[in-house]
Amino acid sequence: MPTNADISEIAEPSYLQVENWRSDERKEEPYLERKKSLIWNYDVIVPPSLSAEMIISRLIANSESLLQFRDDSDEGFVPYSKETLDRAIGFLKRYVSSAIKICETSVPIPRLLPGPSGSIDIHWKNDSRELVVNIPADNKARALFYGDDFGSLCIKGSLDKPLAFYMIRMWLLDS
Amino acid sequence: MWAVEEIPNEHFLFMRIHANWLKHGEPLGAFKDIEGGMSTDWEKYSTAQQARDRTRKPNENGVVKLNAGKIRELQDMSVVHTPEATNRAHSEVFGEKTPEMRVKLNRLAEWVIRLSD
Repeated sequence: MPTNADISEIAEPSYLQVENWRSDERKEEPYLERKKSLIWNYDVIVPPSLSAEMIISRLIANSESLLQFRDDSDEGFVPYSKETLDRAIGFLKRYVSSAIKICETSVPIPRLLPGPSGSIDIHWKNDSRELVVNIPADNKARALFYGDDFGSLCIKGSLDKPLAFYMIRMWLLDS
Repeated sequence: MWAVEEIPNEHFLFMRIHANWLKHGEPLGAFKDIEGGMSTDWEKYSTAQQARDRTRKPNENGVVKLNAGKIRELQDMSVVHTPEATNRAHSEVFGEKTPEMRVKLNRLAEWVIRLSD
């Protein structure tokens, strides 16, 4: 067991020291390799020159067509509401705004897909990972998410858990 | 009425996917329940083309196939023959279609009739 003194030593490096350590680590990591690791084949990669506001406004513009989506073969089809779309966009805004601060190269951007029963899926996919966050039509229902690496590593849960957002962000940016 | 039969694990089920599900990306939303389970047609009593033709606008639909045994390997998913008077092939995939299950069902699906066919 570490003593209080030990913990104090470990837990109190100065802010500057931590920043230097992180910077050194990034310098050792080839830029191209890092950039490549963030390319999502399925989706858009945002160049660092774009602001969070520009990214979000593009996503909103692209997602409006979901409101016109229909499946004529499904008699029980539930149309998509502006309210559900707004909640999906709210999640995206939070994700993009925080991811762009953390990630200096580029941010993996998802697609908004029509989900079942009027819900909306936020979907990321590349060669090594896939993740979907489902925003339900019922705003009182839990928003579930699931992601995996096409193998044994997976992440899943619901957004009502306080740490869920950060887990998702970490999963996406660590790809 | 048709007798209910056991669907062997090595058999396939056909499922229609409307073109609209593909407009935005992968058709994750198409893997959904309608009045109980996810509706499919068993290959023993239906071809992919017949499965496609059972909808009002066949030309707007593609058809994928899913292996019954692979579906059963997914947690809480079951495959049941549920014949209807006009469709002996009708079968359903029961179990909650969570994001995890829809991602995995989408991976199992193989196109038999693509929308461009």
